[in-house]
Amino acid sequence: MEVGGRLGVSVVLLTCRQVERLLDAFIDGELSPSQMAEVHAHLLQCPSCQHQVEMIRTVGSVVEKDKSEPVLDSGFAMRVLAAMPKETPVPATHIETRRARRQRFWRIAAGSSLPVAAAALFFSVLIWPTSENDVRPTMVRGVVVEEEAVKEVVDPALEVLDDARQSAQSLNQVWAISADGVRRDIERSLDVTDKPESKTERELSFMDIFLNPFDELLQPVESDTAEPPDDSGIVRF
Amino acid sequence: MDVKVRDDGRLDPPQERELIERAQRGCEQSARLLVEFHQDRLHAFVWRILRNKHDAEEICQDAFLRAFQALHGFDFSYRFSTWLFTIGYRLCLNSIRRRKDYVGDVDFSTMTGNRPGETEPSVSESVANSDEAKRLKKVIWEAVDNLTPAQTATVLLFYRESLSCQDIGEILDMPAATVKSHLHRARNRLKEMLGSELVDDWSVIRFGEAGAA
Repeated sequence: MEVGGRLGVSVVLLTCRQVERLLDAFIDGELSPSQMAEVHAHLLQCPSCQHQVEMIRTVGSVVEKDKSEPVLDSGFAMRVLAAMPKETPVPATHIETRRARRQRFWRIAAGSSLPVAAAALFFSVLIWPTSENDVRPTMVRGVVVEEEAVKEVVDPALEVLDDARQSAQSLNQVWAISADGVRRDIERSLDVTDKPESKTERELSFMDIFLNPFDELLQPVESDTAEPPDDSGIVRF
Repeated sequence: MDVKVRDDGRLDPPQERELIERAQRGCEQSARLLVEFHQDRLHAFVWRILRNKHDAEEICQDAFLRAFQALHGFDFSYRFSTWLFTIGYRLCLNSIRRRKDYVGDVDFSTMTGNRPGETEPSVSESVANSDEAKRLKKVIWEAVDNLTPAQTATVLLFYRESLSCQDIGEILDMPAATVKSHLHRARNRLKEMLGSELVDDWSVIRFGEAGAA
């Protein structure tokens, strides 16, 4: 429906449904001048839509100006200052905006190389083959570690690894001593001079070769009661 | 430091920047001024979302502390208030998540009209403070309380703080289009909730307008 034809100005009268879609933009002043005129024309002849516009404008006015919320007491600012740490810390709890978070993504991507390098070094220590005579992980000592942060991660880990290795060596020594006693018992009972390659011998051969240096250092223990420990408890290197 | 306040009770951006820079250098007086100039606006925003005085005060204090802790990294392309609202809103959401029994309890006994110390209302505002106007304002705030936290925050920031959808999006961590959508849905819900009120002329309770009856 068009009105105002005689004046040479054509204003389309919108339906309530059309106005409803434009109402937000109308209230916020975001419509073009011609659209504003069309909505105005509708509101002049539609009390219902006019009522809704007034309602929303009133809500906005009340929210804007009716400051009826309880207020903080006058000592609030001093309490905030008193609760502040004396030394200004690094902004670790910085709450980011959307823009700042996008920037942070690239900073993290660039900064992640250090922990990744530390992790790679740590796992290389775990899987690096070492000599059985060398208790200390000397292979790691050859790596030039310049970053203090990496040292803090790697050094404690090496100490733990060192302790574990020494414990395992001790366990193997106990096992070798016990197994040696059992082997002597078997030889004595079978009365053979040429050592047969029994199942027990095959099991022990790997351990003997591996722990030969330690066997030389240790006095053989004669024990009739010694029994081979459970094989599952042995830690082999 | 001589602080000049604008007519709307807010700091000029250059003055706000100077206060922040002084606070960054450890000036307690500047930090206190920053708190005093923003505490009521932040508290009103937080209280409207949480509707709990104790929680609102706690969150305001936490928000200021976090803001000052990270003050050295403050981006001066933002307003300090925008940053505070960002922190406050996220703390509000955390608080709501923790409160399983969140029901938005309304304590209208604390609503006593304008704050003490504010200027006397004009003639039109006196009309706006009539019994009927007070009742309608209460009804409006009840309706706002029934919006979702995001919708409530959007309505408050849009009308009370006069922020653009873009700025609101920075605070609520959402695109401006989503803010627009929240505002649209909030208005539709308000229309639904307030539609049953038999009010001849809503403009009767509007503040400071020549047309207010």
